[in-house]
Amino acid sequence: MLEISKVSYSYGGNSVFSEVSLSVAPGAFYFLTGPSGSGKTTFINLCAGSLIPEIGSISVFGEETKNMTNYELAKMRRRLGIVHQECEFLDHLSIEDNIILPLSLAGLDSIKERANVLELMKWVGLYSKSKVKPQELSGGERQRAALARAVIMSPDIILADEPTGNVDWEMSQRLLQLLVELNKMGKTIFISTHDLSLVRLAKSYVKARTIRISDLQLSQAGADL
Amino acid sequence: MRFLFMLWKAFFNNPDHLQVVPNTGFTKWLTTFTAGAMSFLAVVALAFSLICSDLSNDWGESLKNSSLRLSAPTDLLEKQTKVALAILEQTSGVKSARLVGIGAKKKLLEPWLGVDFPLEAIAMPALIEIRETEAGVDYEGLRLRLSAELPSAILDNHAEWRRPIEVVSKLVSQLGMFTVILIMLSSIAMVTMASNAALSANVKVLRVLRLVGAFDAFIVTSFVRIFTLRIFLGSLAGTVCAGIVLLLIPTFSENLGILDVVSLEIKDTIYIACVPFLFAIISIFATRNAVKFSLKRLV
Repeated sequence: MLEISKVSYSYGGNSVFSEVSLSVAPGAFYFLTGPSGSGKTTFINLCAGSLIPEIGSISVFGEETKNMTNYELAKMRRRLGIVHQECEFLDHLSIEDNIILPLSLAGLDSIKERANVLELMKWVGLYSKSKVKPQELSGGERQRAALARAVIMSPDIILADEPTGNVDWEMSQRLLQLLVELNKMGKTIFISTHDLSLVRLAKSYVKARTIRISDLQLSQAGADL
Repeated sequence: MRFLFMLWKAFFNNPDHLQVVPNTGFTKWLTTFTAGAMSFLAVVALAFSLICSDLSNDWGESLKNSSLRLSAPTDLLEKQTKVALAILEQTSGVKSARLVGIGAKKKLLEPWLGVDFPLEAIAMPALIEIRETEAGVDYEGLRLRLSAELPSAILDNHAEWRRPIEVVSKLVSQLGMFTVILIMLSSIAMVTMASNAALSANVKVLRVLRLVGAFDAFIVTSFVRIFTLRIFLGSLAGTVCAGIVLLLIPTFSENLGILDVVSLEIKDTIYIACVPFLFAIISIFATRNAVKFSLKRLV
C-alpha cells in the first residue's frame, strides 16, 4: 500500500533521511515520532507526493510518486486523507463547503453527498457549526473539521501530521478516538507526533506500531512506549 | 483553436459548484483598478494616435490638389477662366481642372468669414482646382506660360507646404502608435504584477486545493476565470470612461475650422472597443503563467 524504499532527502546540503525504508501494511496504525526538526513533516509530505525523493522511491497504491505526473499525483491524493498541523481551509467558504470540497472537485457534490457530509459533521461533533467560517472555529474544531475533510472521500490511507499539535489533552484524546474508529473501519492510519503520551494512549485502544526518526534513520521504537 | 478553447473555459465552463477562489479582498480592487487605469490610458493614447493618423490622411488628401487663382475685372473673369482651363487642358500632368463654385468657396472661407457672410456681394477671384496625375505637373513651366498668357493668374502649388504637414502628422501618428505599444507592454507588466500580487495573497488557496486533490488544470482555470473577469470588468470601465471623455472633446472644439474633423471614425471605435478584450487575453496568459509558476514552487 505504501512502500518507502531506500529514500534519501535533503534541504540544500542538510540531509533529513539517508536511505530509509518502510513498508506500510493495509489497515495498520502507525505512529511516526521524533523530536522537532527530525523530518516528520518532510516524511508525510514525501508520502503525500508533495515532495519527491532525491534518491530511492516511494510507492503509493503500487505506483512510484517519482514517475507520476501532476495529474496522477492529484488523483493519488484523492485516495489519501491528509491532515496537516496548520489545518488550512478556504476561509471564504463555510466549514460544510470546505469539508465537501474534495467531493465537489471529484464532481460528486450531490444532495445525497451533502447529507453524508452532515452525518460526518455529526460524527466529528461539528454539526451545529456547519455554516460557520473556518476562522470562527477553535483549534480543536479546526482539527476535527480537517479530519472530516480528509475522510470525506473515504480514503484508504490517512496521513496526519501532528494532528494534536495545537489542541489540549482532552481534544487530543477525542481526535485519537476518531482516528481509532477510522482504523477499525479498515483505514490505514499514519500519524506523525512528538506527543508520546498520545502514542501510549493509542496503544491501549489499538495495536499501533511506532516508528522513530533520529539520526537520519527510521527505527522501530522501544518497548518503553 | 487552443486559445479559443482556453477563452471558453476561462469564462463559461465552470465545473466546480463551489467558488474556490475568493472574490473579495484588496487584490480584487487592485487588479480591477490597474486594468481600468491602464485601459483608460491605452484608449486615450490609441484614440489620439488614430485621430492623428486620420488627420494626416485627410490633410494629405485635401491638399493633394493645387489651385489657380484668377483676379480680373468681372466682365473679363469668365473669358480668362476659359483661357486658363484651356491652358490646363493642354498641360501634361494635369488630370483634371475644374472651376470652384460659390458654395465650395463659401465653405472654404467659412472659418475666417463666418457662415452668413455674403460672398456673392463682393468681387471674388475665380478659383480653379487642379488635380494631378501620378507623374505630376511641371509647375515652373506652367507658371511661365501663365505669366505670359494670363498675367493675373496666380498658381498655388500646395505640395510645397503639404509635405511638411504630412511628415509632421505622420510622425505624430507614429509617436502615438509607439505610445500605445508602450502602454500595452506596461499593461501586460502591470496586469502580470497585479495577478502575482493577488496570487501571493491566495497562496493558501493553492495549498488547500493541492491538498484535497485538485488537478492543476482546475486550479489554473479557477484563478484565470476570476482574475480575467476582474480585469475585463476593470478594463471595460476604464474604456467606457475614456470613451466618454473622448466624446466630450468634439463638443468643446466646435467652430475650430480645420479641427472640426478631430473625431473618431467607426473603425477607430471598433479598435477602441477591442481594448477590454485585449486586456482579458493578456490576463488569461499572465494569470495562467503566474499560477503555473506558483504551483511549481508549492510544497
